[in-house]
Amino acid sequence: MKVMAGKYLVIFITQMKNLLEYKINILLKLIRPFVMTAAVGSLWLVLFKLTGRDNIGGFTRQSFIIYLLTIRFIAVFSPGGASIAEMNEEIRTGNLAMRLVRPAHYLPWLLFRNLPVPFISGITGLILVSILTVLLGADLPKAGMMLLFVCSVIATITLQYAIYQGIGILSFWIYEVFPIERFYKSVSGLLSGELIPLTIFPATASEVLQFLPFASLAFIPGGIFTGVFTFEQALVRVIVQWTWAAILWGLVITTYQRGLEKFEAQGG
Amino acid sequence: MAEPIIEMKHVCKSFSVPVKGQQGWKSIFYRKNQTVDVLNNINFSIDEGEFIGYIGPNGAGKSTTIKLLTGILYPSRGDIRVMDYNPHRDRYHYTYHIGVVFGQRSLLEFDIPVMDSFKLYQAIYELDGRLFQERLDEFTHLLKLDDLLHVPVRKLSLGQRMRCEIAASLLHRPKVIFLDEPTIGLDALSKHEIRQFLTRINQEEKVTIILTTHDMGDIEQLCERIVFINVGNIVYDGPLDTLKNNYITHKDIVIVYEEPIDVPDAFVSLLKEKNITTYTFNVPNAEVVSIVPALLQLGAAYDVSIHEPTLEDVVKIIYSNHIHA
Repeated sequence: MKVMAGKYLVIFITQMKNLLEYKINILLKLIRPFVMTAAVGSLWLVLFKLTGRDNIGGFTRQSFIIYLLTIRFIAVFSPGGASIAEMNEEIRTGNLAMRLVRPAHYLPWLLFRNLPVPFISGITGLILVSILTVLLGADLPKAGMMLLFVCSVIATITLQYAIYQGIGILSFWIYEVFPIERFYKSVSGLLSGELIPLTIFPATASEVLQFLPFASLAFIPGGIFTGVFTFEQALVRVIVQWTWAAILWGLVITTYQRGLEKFEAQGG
Repeated sequence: MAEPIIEMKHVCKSFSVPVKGQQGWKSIFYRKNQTVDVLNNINFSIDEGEFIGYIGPNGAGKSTTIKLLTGILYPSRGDIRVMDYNPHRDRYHYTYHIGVVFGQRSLLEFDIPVMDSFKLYQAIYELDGRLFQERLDEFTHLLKLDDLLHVPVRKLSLGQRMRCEIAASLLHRPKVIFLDEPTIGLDALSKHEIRQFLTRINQEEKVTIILTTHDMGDIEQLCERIVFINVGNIVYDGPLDTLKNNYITHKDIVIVYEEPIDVPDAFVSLLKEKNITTYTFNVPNAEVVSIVPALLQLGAAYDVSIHEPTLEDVVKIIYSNHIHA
């Protein structure tokens, strides 16, 4: 087991070395999420000012900024489109063959290859978010709620990887999977609470949306951190998140096995 | 009698491909497919330590066979056993014991030094540090890698990269090696070095090697046994010499006369080519010895040579026989 984990750790380290060959690329990856947060945040601040309201959808100006920072921090852990592109290319060109003839499982191989960027972004993001949270004078969740928040963030990341790997795996059947990724991002942007907190939707729609997998990607962890939920509500939502993560990973692994049977390993 | 190390029994492989020309909305949701047979009832077995040349024209099914043997593809029908493993079913454990080189694909990390890729494969194959170092030292010496280990892969020439690819594929001392066009695009010196290396590990370590290539020089210098595949069927499986003897029925006698000659009717049918004063006669093997003196009587000659068709020529004959069959 130790050796097994060791090989994936070396895959991670090797990819980190690859990444460090392109330092400007890393720098831009680090900055990009915060530029996007500033853009969305500015829009909401303008909205607060224009409406003259102190509270929109249960969020004050301050809690809204913290909500945005929280979900942006979680989003930096997403494997992103690069992981889909890599899988798509390896399946389409047949280069997946080079991975299959080595004693390492492909899905964790890909997972660890895609971790260095989130790892670097996550550390810098954590520092930045912590400083801003203190500066904004936010009340941090109490111990029990903080524990649920951590569980929720891990579930979100697990779910994100399942979704991205799932879209990549479709390359066994579909030549071009990027339109699916773009469609997913659009739907997810709307239904996950990434742009608009789900509490702003009509009550029934908001309730339903909170139990779909999209909410697990942003609204649930963001809501737990900013105190939208009671402890019991948060606990139920974290359980829902892990249930979705288990279902999606089950689907990903099954679909991958089916895909391998269909794999043609094009080219010499 | 020892069990064969590789066995393919009644192996067939088909791919499902979309029927061309499907249009309209319906084709977005439902596509008609047709089955294309790539391998038909492939049977062969290979003993430990053999060096096999697996040859055939483009699209014959060579690479598909290698991908089946390495567990990349699933057979549509039939049984494959390599070292008591079922390659596709036991792929994870099986791959600890095989080495694979695809000449047109790379397993080295492009942006970082070669040594980092070697260390990656040390971890993937779970190689003990001392054994890894011993093997690395051995390969560094045999494949002249000293100056390459700390160079990023993107800066290597094709020949240098291929030497590193081969080393990376064999660090874990595999018992069976699959080489798919390992010398493609290489210059004569690089080919020679790789051939020498392969011969050495085959003979000294008794490693079983299956080589697919279009380079008949590789086959002639490395392989004793040939498996010839065409349109998904094995058309020859046996020693290289027998293949040559079966197909080489004639030899070319090339005579350079001092001036043009009149070829008598008896020899016109043997004349293959004429170029000013150089005459090439294609003569059955059995008649070569008796005909040479007669041909030399036809005029004053100042050079004569006898040429046996190369394996390349033999392969061309087999390709064309089967294509036109």
